[in-house]
Amino acid sequence: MFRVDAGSGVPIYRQLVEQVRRDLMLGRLQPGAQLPSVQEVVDSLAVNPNTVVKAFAELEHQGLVVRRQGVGTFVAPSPPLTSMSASPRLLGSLARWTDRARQEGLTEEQIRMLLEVVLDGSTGTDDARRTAGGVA
Amino acid sequence: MIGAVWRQHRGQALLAVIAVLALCLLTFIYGLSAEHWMTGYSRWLGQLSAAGCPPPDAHSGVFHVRSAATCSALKDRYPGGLQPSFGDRFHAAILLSQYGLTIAFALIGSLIGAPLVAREIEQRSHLAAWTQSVSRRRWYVTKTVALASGLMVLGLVAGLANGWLQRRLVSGDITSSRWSWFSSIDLALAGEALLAFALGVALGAFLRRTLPALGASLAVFTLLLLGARWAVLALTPTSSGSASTAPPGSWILDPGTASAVAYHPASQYAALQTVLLLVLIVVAGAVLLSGWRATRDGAV
Amino acid sequence: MRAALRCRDLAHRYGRDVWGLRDCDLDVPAGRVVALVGPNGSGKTTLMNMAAGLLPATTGSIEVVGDTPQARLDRIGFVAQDAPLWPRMRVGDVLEIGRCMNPRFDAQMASDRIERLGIRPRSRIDALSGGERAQVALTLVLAKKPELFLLDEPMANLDPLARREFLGSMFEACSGTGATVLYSSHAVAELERACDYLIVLRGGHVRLVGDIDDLRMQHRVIRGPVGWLDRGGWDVVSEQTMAGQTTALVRRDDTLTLGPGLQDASPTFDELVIGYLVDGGTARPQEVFA
Repeated sequence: MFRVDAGSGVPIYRQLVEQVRRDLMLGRLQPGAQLPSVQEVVDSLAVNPNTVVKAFAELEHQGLVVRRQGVGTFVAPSPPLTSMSASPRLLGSLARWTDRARQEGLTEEQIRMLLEVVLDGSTGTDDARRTAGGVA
Repeated sequence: MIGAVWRQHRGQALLAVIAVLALCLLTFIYGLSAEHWMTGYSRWLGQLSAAGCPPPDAHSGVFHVRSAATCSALKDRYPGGLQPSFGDRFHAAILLSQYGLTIAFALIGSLIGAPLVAREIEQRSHLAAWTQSVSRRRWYVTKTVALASGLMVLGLVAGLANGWLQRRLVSGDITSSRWSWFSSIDLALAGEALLAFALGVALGAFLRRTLPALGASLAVFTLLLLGARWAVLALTPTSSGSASTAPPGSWILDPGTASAVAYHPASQYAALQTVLLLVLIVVAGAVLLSGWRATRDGAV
Repeated sequence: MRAALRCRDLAHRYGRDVWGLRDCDLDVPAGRVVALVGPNGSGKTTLMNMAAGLLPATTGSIEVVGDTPQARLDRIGFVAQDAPLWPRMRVGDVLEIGRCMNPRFDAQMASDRIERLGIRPRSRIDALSGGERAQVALTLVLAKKPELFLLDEPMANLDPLARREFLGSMFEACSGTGATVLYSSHAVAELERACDYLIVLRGGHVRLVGDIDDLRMQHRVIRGPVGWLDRGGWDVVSEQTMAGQTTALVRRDDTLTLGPGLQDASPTFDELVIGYLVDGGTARPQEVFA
């Protein structure tokens, strides 16, 4: 269920939190479902147990999971993060745009970079669009 | 921690026990052999007097010889007389008894003592040994006391065996003086084993290398033992008298003039042995203490 | 919760002039897995040896689990660099020595673990590979059930699978008992996964210390055309200029605005570490993990 990318800019506990959020949004995790135990995550990823505990605590703080002492960690019955329902039109235009990008010769890495820069640009400096335009 | 000491020194301990037992066996064999020789000599004396021959040390006198042939046949059985004949025959035994055992224990003590601290440091295992739950001091004290005790027991056993041999070697005045054995019987061997061990440990802790510590230990041991002997014999109260009034078996210290010599009468032998042992123990204790300082303060 | 390791103005001098560690102030909370990072000669081994009671403090004080290291020897599990043990002893005997010399030694766990790792108790230590010897040394400290593990580059000889297994054992020890692990290593990637607390040493001084996530939030990596640093008033940790661009690790200051043409991001773990390891503020990363 989890993957960890050590060496990326994102703290590991945040990566775990994001992955749970993603799974919730994509509907892979349903309300009430049980998450792996801390020990299971530690065993499969070889990460610090404190990190996993921190991730679960953060998720609980965000209201996404409920920790039941002695039993486990469960997705909250009504988490404030519903399954994403991207409209078919949105998904369709995304698929078409990706195809066009590929046809223009962009690699997958470049496509991802573009997306990141644009997303960064909408929250940060307005140079982002200029910079993004400079990416070949 | 005793279990740990045993596990680590099991091999050494067994070798030491085997060596000492072998030496004791040797002394036993020599002792029996000497007894047997003495019996033969006494029998020879009997045969001489039965045949009316002159006793071996007679130079003049009148004897009623019954059979000249028998006498000349018997005469050269023990050429040179009692002492030279015995000395020739038991040359090796005398060396073993007077020096060999001391040397053996100097070696055994040093071989067990020198690597105690030095080898741990050489192979870096002190980083493991000193970070179990036992303090460095307790480690040092337990190891030294346990091994020293074992060595002293071995020294005592060998000393008693050598004492037994020595009595066979001096009975009937067949060797010149009991004092030659002063530092190799009874209690002395135990003290020497302890001193050699202590020197090995301390020099190993200072030099931090096993082989140099071994060599240095043997050298210093020799000096200290000679020094201790001298101190015990020269510094304890002596009796004075003239050369002729000194009782037989005395240790004449200072020939001086014929009329005034200092000597230790034979009756003081046991007391002086005890003093020697105490001196050795005190010196060994001081040596082990300085070894502890070096262990405590040395680089890690 | 009392600190697992507390140092106040701790220093150690070798000989007359050589200081292995100076002005060391640390308060490591219990239950953490602490990465101790620094180049050779930075004081890592000195600090570890002092925490294990092997070296005395020249000045200052050090406390482990609330008392001096010598008083807490039974609660410390120390493995020196290269996992030294007694070369001519057999593995089984070494475990027995552990049992005899440690009051809380779990002999059953130790022999189970050795068996699980495929090491024969009758093998002599000097016949084992470096990795197997490291595993025996680690088994010794695990069975001791300490409150503080001090591991000086313990995984240097372990293959990736063995490292995984060893980390698993460490985590099991910590999460069960709340033990603290201090381990020094050069391998940054594995440190990030395993550790949640960081101590960076260089030249005998502590350069950075704290919870890793907190530290990353307290710093930024900013990159822009040469010259941006001179204006702006940033608290710079270190900077590097290459191909017309200056990249700098700075302490985060939300009162300062990012000028045009600048990109900022949260530092990765090794950007953070390397940023504090370089000398005098100019990056020379190739020296760092020498």
